Amino acid sequence: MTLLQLVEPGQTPDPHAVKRGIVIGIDLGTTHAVAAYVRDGKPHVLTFEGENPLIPSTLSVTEGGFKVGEVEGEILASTKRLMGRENGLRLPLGSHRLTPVEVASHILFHVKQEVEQILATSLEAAVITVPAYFDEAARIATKQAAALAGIKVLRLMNEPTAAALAYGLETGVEGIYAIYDFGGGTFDISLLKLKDGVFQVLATGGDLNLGGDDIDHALLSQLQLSDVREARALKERLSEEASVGGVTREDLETLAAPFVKKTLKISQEVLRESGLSLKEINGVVLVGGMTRMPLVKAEVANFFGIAPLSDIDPDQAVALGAAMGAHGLIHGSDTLLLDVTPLSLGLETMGGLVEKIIPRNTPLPALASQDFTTYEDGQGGMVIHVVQGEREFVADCLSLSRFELKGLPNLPAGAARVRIDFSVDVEGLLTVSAFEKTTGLSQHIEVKPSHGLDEETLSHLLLLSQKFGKEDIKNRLKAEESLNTRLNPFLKK
Amino acid sequence: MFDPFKILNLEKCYALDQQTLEKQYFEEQKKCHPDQFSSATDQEKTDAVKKSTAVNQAYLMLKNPCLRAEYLLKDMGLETLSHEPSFLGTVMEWNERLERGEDLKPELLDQEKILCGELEKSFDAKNYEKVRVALYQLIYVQKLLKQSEGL
Repeated sequence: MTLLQLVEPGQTPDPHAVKRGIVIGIDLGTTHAVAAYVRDGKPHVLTFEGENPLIPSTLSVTEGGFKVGEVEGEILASTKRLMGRENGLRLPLGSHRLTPVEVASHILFHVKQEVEQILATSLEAAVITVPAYFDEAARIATKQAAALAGIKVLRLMNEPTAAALAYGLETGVEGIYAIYDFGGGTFDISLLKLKDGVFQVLATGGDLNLGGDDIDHALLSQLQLSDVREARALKERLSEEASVGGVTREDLETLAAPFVKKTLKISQEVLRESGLSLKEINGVVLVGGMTRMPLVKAEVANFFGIAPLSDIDPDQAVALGAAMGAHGLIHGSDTLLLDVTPLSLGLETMGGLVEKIIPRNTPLPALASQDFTTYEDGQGGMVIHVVQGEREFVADCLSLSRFELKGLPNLPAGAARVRIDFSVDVEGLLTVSAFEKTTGLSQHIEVKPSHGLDEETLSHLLLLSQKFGKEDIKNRLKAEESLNTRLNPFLKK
Repeated sequence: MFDPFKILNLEKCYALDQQTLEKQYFEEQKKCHPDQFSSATDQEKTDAVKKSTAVNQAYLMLKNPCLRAEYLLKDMGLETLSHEPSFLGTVMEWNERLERGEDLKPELLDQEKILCGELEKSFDAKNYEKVRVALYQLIYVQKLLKQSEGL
């Protein structure tokens, strides 16, 4: 106990007495946004007394301006699925035409206002969560939305990692855990090792276009309902009741089964890739609204052979973990999060092939380099095309960025030495640098979302890769063979 | 030169159990992970990213028995690979069986284990020619394992 504290004039006796705003965690979900903060060392979801802490991720427009939350009439919903897919896409709402980033920024701005009103303090900064499987473009889009809303982002954090943080810190569990995160729009599965305050992601996988929304739409068309909100309400009630208005839980389960099967198939792949066996998994944590469905609980229990945990509300675990993460970043903590890249990053080489520079599931921060050379005498430039995905051909991957390294020295073919560095930070954001060794010429770019992307290709990037893995390798060998006789525009040293 | 043993504060030696490696990895990451420096100066942040990246690289290198052996050989200024002509026949046979769709995974995993043991014994005995032969074979076995998983 301090009996007497001497303070120099002009100094503050207690650093915490300095008036600061609050830091929070925001789970910016496809169907709901949830905010949470830490008070007295414990995380709490943000809510008006007795009210639902879930803020619907929907936007409508009224005479008074934009309105976030559930209303009758025209709304924009589930736009998270379009994050980073901009490409000039504008969503109509009344007389407005909004980009998905603008919609997200309205939701975030609403969260900021609620926080400041409820806690009667200013919002200093936030940890915002994203699906582990979000690619570069979607991550950057999320940061842009926060910037538009005037929120300083402490860090992006992967949703399953945040949920694991909440479980680990709240319940003290240790061992290897699977976080099964089935939300409104996306599915993620992460395997983590929890030990002595370390949260090490061992492997991660998912599908950006697999969520409760898909089941709502299946129900909508099956029952010929007029509104997807009606379908969702019905689906949710059937988790509690055996039958609603003549529709039975079995009917719903028949519709939902293929989607649930898909999540287990992805789980199987991630498990295989991690090199772990089912026996080594100490527990499975359920996250996301879809895991309230009895069928999902039963299938997950059956697959992992253990009763899954849902001690923490599956709709709140991500926000609570994000809040603890935000608190730790500002106030210091003994907790360590070691996350990984969800998708491989590479470069286009000869014949439209992909040279993987950083394979997926590499721990972050990561750095990898590759040397390239010129294929023509006096070649003055080199096009550097950065891609993300698991397939062997550029055409099947997501194009992240394309730039040209100009002003190469006048050298014979094969004499220039261009080193390309890929570095990925803890948020999963990529920076690419090119460096010509003989002249010291260098170029440095941050990847910006610039791709013209085919929605379907993206959603199945990894699944296709697994399905076509062998076929891809065969095609690659063929392409390499036929190229051996030609000049290589991008020959590896 | 990049020294993964020094970065993780480990004795420079081939024999290394996963638990010790992991313990040192976590310990070093706790010191330099960028999350621990979110309120630091830009220079401190940049340094943290560099160190934390190096710790990750060192961990990945030492976790993989091939990369670990290769590093130690290079560090002693020795050649890294040497092949026994008879091994080529085995590889060709494995390839044929893979083509026929046979599941070679259990067999290859056994082989991997044997070769890792051989590496450790030969390093212990300072018999580097034997190390090179085992390393060459292990690289092939790991490549085939990846193929057998359709990756």
